[in-house]
Amino acid sequence: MSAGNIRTLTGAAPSPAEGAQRAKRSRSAAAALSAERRHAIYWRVGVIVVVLVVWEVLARIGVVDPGFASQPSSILVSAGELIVDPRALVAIGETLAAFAAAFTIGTAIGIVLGMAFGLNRLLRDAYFPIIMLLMVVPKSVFLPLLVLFFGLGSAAGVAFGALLALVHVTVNVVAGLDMVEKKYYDVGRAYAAPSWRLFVDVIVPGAAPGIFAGLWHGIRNGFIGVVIAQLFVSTAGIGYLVRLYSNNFQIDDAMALTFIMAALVIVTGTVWARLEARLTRWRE
Amino acid sequence: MTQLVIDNLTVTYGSGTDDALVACAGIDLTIDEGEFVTIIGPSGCGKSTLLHCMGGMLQPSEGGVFFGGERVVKPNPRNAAFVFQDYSLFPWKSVGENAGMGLRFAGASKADAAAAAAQQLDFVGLGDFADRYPRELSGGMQQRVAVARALALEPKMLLMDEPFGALDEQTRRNLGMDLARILAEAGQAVVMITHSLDEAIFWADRIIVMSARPGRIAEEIRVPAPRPRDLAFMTTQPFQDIRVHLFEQLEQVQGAVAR
Repeated sequence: MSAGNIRTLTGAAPSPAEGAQRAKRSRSAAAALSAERRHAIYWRVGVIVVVLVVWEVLARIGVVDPGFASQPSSILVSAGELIVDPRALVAIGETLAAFAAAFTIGTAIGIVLGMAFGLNRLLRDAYFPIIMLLMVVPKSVFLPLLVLFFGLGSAAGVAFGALLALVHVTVNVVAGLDMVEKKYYDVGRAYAAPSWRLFVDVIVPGAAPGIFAGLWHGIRNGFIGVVIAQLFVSTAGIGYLVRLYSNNFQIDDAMALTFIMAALVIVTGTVWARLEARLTRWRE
Repeated sequence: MTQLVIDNLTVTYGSGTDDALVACAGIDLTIDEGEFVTIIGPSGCGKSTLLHCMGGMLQPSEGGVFFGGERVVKPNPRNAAFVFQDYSLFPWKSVGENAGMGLRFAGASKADAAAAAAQQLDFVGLGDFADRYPRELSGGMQQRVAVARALALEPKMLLMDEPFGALDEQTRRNLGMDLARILAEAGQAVVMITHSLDEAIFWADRIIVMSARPGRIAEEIRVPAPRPRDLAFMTTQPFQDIRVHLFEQLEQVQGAVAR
């Protein structure tokens, strides 16, 4: 019986065993990789812990002034208070709502523009340079203008976040479409694929890496835009509160809020990475 | 019966008088139903150009291609289906979906395409691999999937552009033997471009030898042996005679370039 098995394994014709072996090989490679990643996590967490401890010690022995630089233990206390403080919760809600709006608007427009520029030569030659220009211009120069337009409330932040997201999403979607190899279009043409099928089955999945990168940049930049606008001009959201606390020398609160914000971004990023990995299983 | 007629076909790339490049010139060729034709010739002799014209992927500058009496103006995979050198499977689709993709493009429902794909995958010996992704398969297996994708459309003709070009010698021979049997069973006419003398002879009812650019047909050679053939055919005298002749022919057309 075992001899029979060996024969199928070494036979020239493809056997299920051969495929299973290949799958197994890639699985064990994945296991090795995750062990490496675990080590990287230990090292990362280790450094963070050391920094926090040193910071705390320096603050306690008075080398740094906790009045300006705060200290981890009081930040933790503040954070505990802030996450039940209605004012902070409203601010977090405002920021998240503004982010959701900025991301949706900016990403939607960015995807449409990216698709248009990626698939149509004329539109690309005509208008893509404008986006590329926006890419290199520091976009905060538009902030005063947006405030004039939208006032000091959340709307200015939404507009600024949407603008930032739009630019990055567009550029990434175009890059994604450029990555779809000609040979896949050739298959579509040789097999007389109607345009919409080519779009659904070839172009979108082929450009998926770029589109996903674009969505991620949409999340990131939407958030950055909203927070920057709140930090410097708006009178709403976490950004505004951080500014307020800093101005009042409530450094513990400002720091705590900053870390809460960072945590929100990290959670979003992790959820996103999971989702992306699941949707692009074929890449491994 | 004649299936495909190529009438005085000329393809010129570029339009100016200086940079115009004649890829192939004055080609007359007919392919019969169920016939296996291999095309061999030096690199850049317009073999691929000719094949692309046959499949409607490229429009000739002069002359025309007629399939079943009708002029070929665009690809019609039900008439002539392509198998590419680099397999060109979609990495984001499973093996089963890939094999059914031609049918999906032609408007078949998901279920119909999957059923036909499963049948063709069985036929090429990959029945158990429908749920895998292309990256999990070897090159030879991927090319089998590409053949299944073409066969699923039940085309009247297969157009194969160096289908074994990217494979190693051993895989090439195994897959070749297997496909020779499969294609003989399927009964389609096949036009296959190859760089290998052995392949050109082993597979073919007729070998087309093309000259260097501008590509013209230098010679047509009939291989007088029934298909499918087994490996022993390669040791017979007729095979050896054709091989020697083909070798000299290619030296000659290639030598013309070198000089």
